[in-house]
Amino acid sequence: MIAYQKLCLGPEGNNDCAMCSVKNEQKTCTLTELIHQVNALADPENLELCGGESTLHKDLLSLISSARGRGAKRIKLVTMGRRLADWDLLTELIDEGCRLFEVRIHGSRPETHEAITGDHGSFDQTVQGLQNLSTLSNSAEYEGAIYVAARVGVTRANLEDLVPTIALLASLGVDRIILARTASDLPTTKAARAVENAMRVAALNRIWSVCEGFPPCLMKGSEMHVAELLRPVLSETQKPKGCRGCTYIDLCNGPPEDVIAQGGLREFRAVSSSPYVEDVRRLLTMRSLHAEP
Amino acid sequence: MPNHRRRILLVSFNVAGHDSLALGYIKAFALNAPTVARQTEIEILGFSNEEGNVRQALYYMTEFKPHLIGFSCYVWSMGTILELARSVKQIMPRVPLIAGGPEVGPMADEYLEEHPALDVVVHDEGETVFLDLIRYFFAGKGRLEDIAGISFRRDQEVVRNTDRTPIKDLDKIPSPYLTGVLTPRDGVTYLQSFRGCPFRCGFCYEAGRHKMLRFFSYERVKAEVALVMGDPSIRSFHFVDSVFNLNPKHLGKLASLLQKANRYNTGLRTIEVFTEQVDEETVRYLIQAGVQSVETGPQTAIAETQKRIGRYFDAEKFSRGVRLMQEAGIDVWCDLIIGLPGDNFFRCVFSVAYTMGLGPARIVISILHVLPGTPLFEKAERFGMAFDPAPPHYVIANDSFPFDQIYNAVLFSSSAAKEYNVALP
Repeated sequence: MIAYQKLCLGPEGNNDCAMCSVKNEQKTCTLTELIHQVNALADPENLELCGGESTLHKDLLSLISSARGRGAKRIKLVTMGRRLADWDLLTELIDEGCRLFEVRIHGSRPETHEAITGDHGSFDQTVQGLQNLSTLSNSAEYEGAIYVAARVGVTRANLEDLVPTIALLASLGVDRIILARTASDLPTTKAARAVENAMRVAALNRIWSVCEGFPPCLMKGSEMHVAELLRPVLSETQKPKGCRGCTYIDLCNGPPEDVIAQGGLREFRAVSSSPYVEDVRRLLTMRSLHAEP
Repeated sequence: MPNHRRRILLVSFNVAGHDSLALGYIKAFALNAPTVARQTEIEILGFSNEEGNVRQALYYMTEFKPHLIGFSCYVWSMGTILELARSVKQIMPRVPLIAGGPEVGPMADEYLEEHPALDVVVHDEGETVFLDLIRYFFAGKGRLEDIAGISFRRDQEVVRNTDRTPIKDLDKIPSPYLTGVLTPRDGVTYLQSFRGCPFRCGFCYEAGRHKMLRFFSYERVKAEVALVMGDPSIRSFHFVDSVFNLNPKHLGKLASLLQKANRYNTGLRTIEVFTEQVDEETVRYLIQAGVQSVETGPQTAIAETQKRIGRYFDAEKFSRGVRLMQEAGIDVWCDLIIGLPGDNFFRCVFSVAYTMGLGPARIVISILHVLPGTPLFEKAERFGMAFDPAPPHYVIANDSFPFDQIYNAVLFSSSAAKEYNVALP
């Protein structure tokens, strides 16, 4: 719900994820450049530090400290979580003022996770990082003072492993789970059902979960978990003919481009009516949902 | 020399870190009667609701050997109190057990019918009623049938007496602090300048009570404030008034007496304010009074819902009030309730987004308790309200908000509020 201002620290990573969108030609920002970016923000209250792999930036702690000095109240680190296995580094990050973490994890076991990250040993480190966060979150010193979200990239490779992944994340006490469509080779409807099922399991475990990249027409009955409806923006993208008359037409980005390119539009059907649409439109007026440009 | 004084035990299970002001009033009022002061010993036994152990309380009772026990009953403590009452009745069958407080008062007869361990239930305010009960049980004065404001068990039957008119002159209730019944402590000291509430919010038990506001005199409040603020170990305390900024005149007087007594930079914390009424003058008074933090609505940001629950809400004025207080350095805590009739999942999302947009110091989320005696309890059928009849009376569903949406709204809001509240200063 909170609108974060994004700071990309650089492309450097410690995984070899097949679907990674970060371009290697992007350059790593220096501390001075990053501080300059923070200083240029009108309101640096909520910052999201991402990469590449944010924890690899050599001046991360200094950046956090500097951002705190500039008035940042919530600093969220988007990470693969591997370096959070290092207890000392993690406690330094937290003590410096980073209290929100979004950790990417793609499966409940090494075979699934590492099939996507492409790096042997990455699963154990990520899980250890989440375990460390859980331990700290439950400690008397930081109780209720650390927020952990887990982002699961939904691909063909982990579709069958989504429920066990939710179970793993439940055991690690995460505060939110994001199931994001990340691959272009997904059987869309099948993936939607698997995501829906995984979100039900999360709810049964009293964890809030959302999905990204799944249009509402595929998620009937699970609209409450569609991220695009929780923080809607007016969409100006051209939609296929099949979307005409859809009650969500101006709130939805339509079928993913890769699906359109592959001619897989049969699965998308215009939603003729929805009990939620009026209330979703009301959300459009909420400025707290959207970061200033 | 043997102690022949009759022993009275007043028991409460409080939210962690809090004390019972209500029992302080009851004890102070009873001891104000010279005979009672001479012939009885009254002890307040307060447990933390989270850690309080029924068997531990029972053990204390067997040691103290009370002749009369009174329970202060709230939604959060009722289960524990009933468990304790059942056990006490078995080992002290002759000791009368009296229950009072907002959880049992509006359902006095039902509680007596369903819980044979209880002997008397007080309908409303307890001070004068409890004194009459002491006189009845210990001095044999009068008949239970003649004590207004109670229901009681006679043989197998529940008898309901007429309600009692509340005390008009609140100064007749001695101050628990000035009389030494309660000792002011840092963060756990509660003062009150008036009783009642001018509003009729559907979820609040104050709304089901007396419309008339009754005030303690300023001299009395001034004396209490002087005592509390004269103690340098007390860094902050609370006023439990339903609306601290009731009106500019009252607020101005309170602010003035608080400012004059404030020698050690003592602060007022988490007082309730009517935010729509907060203007520059109000903020000046709040600062003058030493207010450090306030707690306020909006409970929901949906106008239709506010209307249904009988609550006044003006989004623009509310936002302005919050902003003015924040600009003056006052921490504003905003409360939201999940499960109100008129809301649904996406309307809750809207309320969370609206509240976050105000930038409060903290967002506090709770699930609707359909409390006995509240307008929502009374009009439950009209709103299609399903709720647990047993405390804590959590809402299950209503005509606009099915259970699955309430369940998901709780998950969503709890997660969102935590993400918001981890903010560092």
